[in-house]
Amino acid sequence: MVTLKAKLQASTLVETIVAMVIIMICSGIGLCLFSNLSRDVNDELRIEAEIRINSFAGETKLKNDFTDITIESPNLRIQRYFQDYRNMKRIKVMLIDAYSLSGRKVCTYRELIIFR
Amino acid sequence: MVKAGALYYAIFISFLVALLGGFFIMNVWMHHAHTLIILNGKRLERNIQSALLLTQESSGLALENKSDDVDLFNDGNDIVSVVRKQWGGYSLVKAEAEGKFTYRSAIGLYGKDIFENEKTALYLSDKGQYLSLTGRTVIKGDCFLPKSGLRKAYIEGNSFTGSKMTEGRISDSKPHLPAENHNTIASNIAYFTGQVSPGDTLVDISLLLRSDTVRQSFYRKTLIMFSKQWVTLTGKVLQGNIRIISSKGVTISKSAQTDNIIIYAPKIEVEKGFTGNLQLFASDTIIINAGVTLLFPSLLAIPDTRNPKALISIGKNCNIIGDLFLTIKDETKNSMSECLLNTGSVITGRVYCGGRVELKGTVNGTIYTNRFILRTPGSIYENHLLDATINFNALPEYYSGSLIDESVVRYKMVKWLR
Repeated sequence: MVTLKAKLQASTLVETIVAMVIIMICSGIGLCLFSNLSRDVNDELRIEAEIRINSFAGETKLKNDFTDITIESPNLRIQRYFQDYRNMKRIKVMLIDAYSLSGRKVCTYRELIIFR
Repeated sequence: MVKAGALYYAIFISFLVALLGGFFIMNVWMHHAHTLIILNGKRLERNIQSALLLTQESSGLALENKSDDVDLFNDGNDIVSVVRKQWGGYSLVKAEAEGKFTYRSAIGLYGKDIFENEKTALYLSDKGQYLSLTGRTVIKGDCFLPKSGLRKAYIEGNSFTGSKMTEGRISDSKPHLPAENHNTIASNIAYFTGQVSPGDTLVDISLLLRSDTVRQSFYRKTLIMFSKQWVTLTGKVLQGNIRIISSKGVTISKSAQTDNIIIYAPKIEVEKGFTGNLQLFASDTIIINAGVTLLFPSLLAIPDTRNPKALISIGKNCNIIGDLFLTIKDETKNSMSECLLNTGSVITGRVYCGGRVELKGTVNGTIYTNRFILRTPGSIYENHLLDATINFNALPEYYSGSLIDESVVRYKMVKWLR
């Protein structure tokens, strides 16, 4: 027969509640940070937009196609337009903006080009 | 038996959760930062391209050896620092852009866009003499000729066989050639006397003699190799930001390999069969032997010579893609300076000769000269062309001329440099 040699110290109700609160706060903060960061960066869409924009810009320069245009893809809406640059006749600013389906601007491409 | 004490356990578990969460957050942040660095790098590359395009289009931007900060879109976000330096007969523009954790730079070699205004095949200054054509001479492109104009001639049993004397507009020339770029000339002449700019690194020619290969990046200081003796380049590989100066002369043998370098000497000789790209500045004589190929962008120049017999001689069957340039300081009537192009040789570029030109080969481009000379076994003729070809239309549209002219409306990129 086993006999208890020492007394077991039990947690008090207050202690348990404090511990649970600490764990919940820590987990909450962690999750909050993680989800916020993930949502803010949304790198995948941004990278996709950047790749599409770069290839679109390359095509534009290759084909010398200097018309304003908007194209749609499953995830993005891409808009290309041109602006005058400092009264220079031959140079224009080529702007290409990529928007998500919710209408948020994902990224912008700006480059000076020779307008032929 | 586990001791009770939930607070300690809670703190420990919280620590673990925080650690785990921290790793997750760090991972996302790192990924995000990496993406940002790549995207920013791309943006800086575009900005550099844009800034170089701007310096190409506006000749007032980025003056010689003066750094300019260009705010591309006037928003303070896209600033590129550009600086222009002279590289022989061409111009070198370095552009640098800096962003968050990223830095990009590029160096481009620029010449003159010669297709902008002129489409001149021939500019013969008006010394009161007409130009005589004979044999299978072809001139394609616009011409600036003396008021006395063009004539057909019959010499050495040859008469003019073409259907048209020129294919292009003919205008009156002036008594003098279009002005040359004095800045380009002055800055290169300084190297003949051993004047070195403070940013350059001067080394003795023994470094070259000791090594087989010398490469110098254009991102570093210019390497100047100086010798008081005649220098012979045999079996050497010389690439990049290098100027070789000799007080006596330089011989470049067939086995040498050169890329982008500049050579200064009173006399320069390129041996038979050599192929490479270089700029040669002589004060006296440049001799290019038979079968030499000089790749674009090459330049053969005798600027502001005081030698009345200065000579640029191109041997038989040479192929030169670049400009020839000879100007005379204080020209007199006795001046015999000349550019000689032998049979079978082709120059794709421009010939600017303040003396006289003996043309037996082909110039795909432009000739600016005061006189022509034709030597035959029987006689010497002035302002005669026999079986010569001058064809501006054969100049490739990507050709970029050296900056020997005073008027540079627009620069044009020659190539990227490392």
